Amino acid sequence: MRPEMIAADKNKIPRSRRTATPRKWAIAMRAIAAVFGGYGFVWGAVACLTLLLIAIGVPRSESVIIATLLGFPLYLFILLWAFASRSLVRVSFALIGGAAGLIGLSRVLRGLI
Amino acid sequence: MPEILLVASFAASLFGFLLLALSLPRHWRETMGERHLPSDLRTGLRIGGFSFLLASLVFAFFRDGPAFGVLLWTLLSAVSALTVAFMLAMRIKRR
Amino acid sequence: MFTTLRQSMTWLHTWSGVTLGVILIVIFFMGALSVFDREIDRWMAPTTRLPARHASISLDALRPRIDALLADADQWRLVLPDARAPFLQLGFRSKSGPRNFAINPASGDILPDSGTLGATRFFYPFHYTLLIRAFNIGPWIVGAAAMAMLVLLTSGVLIRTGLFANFFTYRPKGPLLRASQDLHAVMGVIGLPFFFVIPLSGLVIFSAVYLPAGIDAAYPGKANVFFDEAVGAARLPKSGGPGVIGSLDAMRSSAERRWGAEAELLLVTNARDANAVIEFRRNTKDRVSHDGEPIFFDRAGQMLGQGANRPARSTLDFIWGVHLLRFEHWPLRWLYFVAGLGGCALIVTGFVIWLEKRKTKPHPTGVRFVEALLIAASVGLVFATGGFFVANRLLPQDTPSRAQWETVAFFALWAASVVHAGQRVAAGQAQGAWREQAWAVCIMAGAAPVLNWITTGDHLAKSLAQGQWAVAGVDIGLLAASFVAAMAARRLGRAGETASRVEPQNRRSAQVETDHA
Repeated sequence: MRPEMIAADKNKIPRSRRTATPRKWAIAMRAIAAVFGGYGFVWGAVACLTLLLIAIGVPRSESVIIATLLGFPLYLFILLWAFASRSLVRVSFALIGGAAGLIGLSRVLRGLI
Repeated sequence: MPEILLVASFAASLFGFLLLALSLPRHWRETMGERHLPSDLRTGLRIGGFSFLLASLVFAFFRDGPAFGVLLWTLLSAVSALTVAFMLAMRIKRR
Repeated sequence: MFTTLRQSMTWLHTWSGVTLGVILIVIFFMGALSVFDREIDRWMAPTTRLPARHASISLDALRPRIDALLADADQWRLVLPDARAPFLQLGFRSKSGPRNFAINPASGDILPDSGTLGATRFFYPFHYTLLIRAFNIGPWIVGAAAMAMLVLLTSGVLIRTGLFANFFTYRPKGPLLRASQDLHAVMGVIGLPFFFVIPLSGLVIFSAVYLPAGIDAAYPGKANVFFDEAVGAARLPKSGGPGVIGSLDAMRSSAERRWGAEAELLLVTNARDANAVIEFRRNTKDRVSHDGEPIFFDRAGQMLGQGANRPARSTLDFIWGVHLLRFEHWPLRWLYFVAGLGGCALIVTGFVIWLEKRKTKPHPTGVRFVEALLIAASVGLVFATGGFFVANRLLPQDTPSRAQWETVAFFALWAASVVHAGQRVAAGQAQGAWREQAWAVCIMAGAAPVLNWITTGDHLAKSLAQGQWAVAGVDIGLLAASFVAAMAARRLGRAGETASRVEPQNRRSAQVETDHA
């Protein structure tokens, strides 16, 4: 993108909400949350979806394939969202918390099936 | 016969992209001089362009069936669109 | 972090590109070469330049020779000849490690060791492992790069203004920055379907490595059961008693009757046991989908089962097929090759944009580092590959561990390119580094077909006349690479002259700018 556009975008936003160049640690945190938290989230989501599909009667190997195929687009969406979202706190909580929750849920589901 | 359909598919997508390029004001201006592009001509060029792209897809389907046809059409269109971009660049260079 | 979507996507596009772009260039380039892996193999291993045979060979007649080679191997596989690889390939794991033999279908003789890894054992694994196999590090780096490619494409589309208004815009005569921006956008948009589907399907192919979450949830600790269930494989437990496998020809013709297609591969498990299982897979040259429709026999030739054909599995096979292109479709094969090289050009132009934007200021070290890396990863990589072809023809056939020396030549030349690029860029002569390495590519790629002529006698006119399309095609490709490199080098020379004439002024104005800032 052309630099003058960034400038134009900046001018539209009230001074109070304008941010300077993001700090290094904030970027690092966001990247870690996106890459690793996001991966954990996808892992949990794929595991849960696999088990749910099995529960509704889809053959086991087919459930694995369907859930895994959906996992990659989901990870792409999460990576983009994690960088597009304004709030680092929200990103970190949603991804790291969501990952823990979904992986935990998949363990519970595995015990039920 | 398959080779004729291959050439036909490529030619149709090349021509289709050429028409679509001309329907864009910038390329119309650059290739046809400074004239203004009337809106009904633009619509005509767009309809023509997309029809040729569709024809190209149909040729690819006839040659190879749906699975290979879609792959062939996608990649042939990429090559022909890039060819159109280069042709437009050459044309500007010469003037 | 950022106030607008465009800002955040620009940041993401820039930095995922700068960090993983160099690896993406290597992956795209090796992938493009792998499209013609069998053809490059024929070029590099002249003993396998056999005429294609149409009559099918008797497997039973070959059995004594195969059994002698196998010794006590418990599992083995045999790839049957086809038009692209006109010989049988026997593979098994012996006590001293994996063994591979090529067998001449006409005589049944074992072909002498070709002394080269060729494309199927060098370029192809390079494409998906970067040849770093320890702890699967290489495949994981490739997976990260594939994911980055998807991120780059999506963020690139989101930040691009006037996506359709500038669909065909390319202005090569203007400044380098603008020409690169045009080309980058045009190629990115036009090639979007291919550039998106290829990394995505690559990730899917390796999903059991990258994302085994589903397998782990549904088959905890039993991934093998998943693979068997997914294809509908028939397995027998080892009985412990000895057994001899019956007629393979009878099994093959029974399988071929069922498919209405030719067999491509046979896999034997429990080879010396009474409960041996023989699996046949069909060739998929008439279809996109990589579905071998496996059929399983016991050692007496009784059919044990046929692979299941379920919807998700079929979708998966199709995705595999789109990436692996095992089908016989020459226009598509060429288009994949061109599109793969287009992927390299897309990333290189992206880097040029990044570099040009930072060159108005006095070069920071980071920018120089990236430029040197880019030179080595683009022209340098082509140079090293050309050197691999040259080394293949220069090393005497009886050199001990000849294949390793070829690999050494490749990496030595690549290292030389890194050193040269680094040294020239550090001296502020990046343009010179590009030009000199382009000339080096021109010489290497031009020398290879000549050496092929001298060492094998198959010059271009002869291989074309004899219908040796693989050898002729690789020769033509090398000559084309040499020609393109020469044109690029000449153009870089001319651009260099004008640049050096303009440069003092530029530098002064840049100085003024920094003074103001």
